[in-house]
Amino acid sequence: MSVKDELNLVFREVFKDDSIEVFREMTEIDIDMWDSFSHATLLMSVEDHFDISFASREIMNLPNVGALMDLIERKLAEKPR
Amino acid sequence: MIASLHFFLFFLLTLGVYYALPHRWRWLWLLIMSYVFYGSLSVKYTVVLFTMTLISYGLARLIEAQQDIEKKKLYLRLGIILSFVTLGIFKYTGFFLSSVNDVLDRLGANSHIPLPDIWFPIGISFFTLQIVSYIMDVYTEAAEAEPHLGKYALYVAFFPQLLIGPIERASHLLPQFTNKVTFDYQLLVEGLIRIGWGFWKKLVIADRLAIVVDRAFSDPSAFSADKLALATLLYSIQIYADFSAYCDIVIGMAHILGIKLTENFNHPYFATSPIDFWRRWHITLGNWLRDYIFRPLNFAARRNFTLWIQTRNVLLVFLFSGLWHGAAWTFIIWGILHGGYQAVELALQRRARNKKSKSKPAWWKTAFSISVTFGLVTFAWIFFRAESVNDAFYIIKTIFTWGNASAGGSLWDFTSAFERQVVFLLIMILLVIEIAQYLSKKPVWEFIHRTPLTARWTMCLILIYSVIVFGYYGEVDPTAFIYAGF
Repeated sequence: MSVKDELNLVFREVFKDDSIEVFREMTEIDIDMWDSFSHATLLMSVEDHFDISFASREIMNLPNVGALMDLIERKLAEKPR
Repeated sequence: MIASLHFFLFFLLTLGVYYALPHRWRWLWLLIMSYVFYGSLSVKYTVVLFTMTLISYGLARLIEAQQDIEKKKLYLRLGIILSFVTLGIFKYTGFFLSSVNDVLDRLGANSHIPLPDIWFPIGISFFTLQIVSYIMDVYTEAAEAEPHLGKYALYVAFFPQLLIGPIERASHLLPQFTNKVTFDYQLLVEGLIRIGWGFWKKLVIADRLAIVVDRAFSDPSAFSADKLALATLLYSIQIYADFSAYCDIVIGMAHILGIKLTENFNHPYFATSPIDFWRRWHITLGNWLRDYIFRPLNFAARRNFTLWIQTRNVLLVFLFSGLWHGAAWTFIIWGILHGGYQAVELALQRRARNKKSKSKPAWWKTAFSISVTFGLVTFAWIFFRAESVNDAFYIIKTIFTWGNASAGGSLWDFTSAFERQVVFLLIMILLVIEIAQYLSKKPVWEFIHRTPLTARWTMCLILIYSVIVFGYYGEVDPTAFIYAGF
């Protein structure tokens, strides 16, 4: 599964909505339940799902879902195998 | 300063030369005019502005050049601390020392700390936030450090938004200074109509209401409950008309210069909850608080995200917001009230999270939510406007016990027979236009601009005429905006 597909699973789980289809330009405006709190839950779920960990410096520069996907990919590449 | 003929002429001069100059020199012209504008208020302000610009420019470049993450963090902290310490010295020294003196008084001490005579560089609260956002963005790599000191200085000092915002991000504003803009008649007309609408809200509504509101809040004990309640309601309208007028004027001016500033309002009094209100009122401040304080706080606590942590984080953010607005207990209480509203709403949301229905609520439910939200916001404005905490509590107590019925103070000046009727008629006109804008999702200047030529000119003339005839040009200084005090 691609990062995008896996991320889609996380989004559906966190926002409890099976109709969500993530796209690169998606922001909190596109999902009703996406507020500052679910944002933290979302990032935590992403960390758990991909078994990575973000620094606060990294999460402050996430203007949209595309930026989050890039960050996940970078983190996965850095991860020791 | 902004809603004055002088400033408008200053703008026209800036505009004429701006488009006459070749692209590559326009930033310099805007920078010069921004410093001329700020210097015309006081030359010493420009020293503060320039020093803060220089320090943040240097630190951002150091952050970017540094490879070691710990050193980057060190420069970031230094930048944030220096910015807020500077703001603190100018804004909070008096408040802090007089609070200490209050405590000394209560302890029965005879000696007091003398209050130093500190001047306040107007706009510093706004450009400090803009500087901090820039340093943070460079640190998180959301923006690149600007290599050109002059262009960066313009980002901090750009005259339309220097005094009261909108609080812009470097990644949004900086690239626009080098965009190749050619003079466009469309931009000019759109911008001028928006400026006209801003002048109407400021001079016709806000400044007229200011007289009535000031009478009540300067001496609340002279008024009965119904008059205090009315003055409170009118203040809600005044502060909206005042601040949104300012934004319309400066966004319109920047529009004519081919520069797009961020919108600060989205029909705030149609908000259906306190959280919704903060997505619609002073949006650029809300976004700043969300991105640089709220999200990092929540992220840090993500593994242990209890109801208590959630509540604490909201209260902290709004305590900061209250303090940022002004160095007084009234603003702190105002901030905590808004924080409290949101904490309660979030707690309720948390409980209802799994039950949330997707269907659109019935219109009467929406109308009810809008009314309750407006009531809560208006209640909080009492603290925002009152001259002291005691005054605020006195006003609240009088209104809720319907007391002080014998007080004879009048909100209206009966030497001008129609004052009250005129004010209510004008408020009705504003209300109708606001509702039309909200329902049609189209701002009034866009509506005017899209009508056929004759109708457009007629509406513009009516607008100008009514600003001249109904605008208020006495007693209060029409050039002062409420938010310029922060």
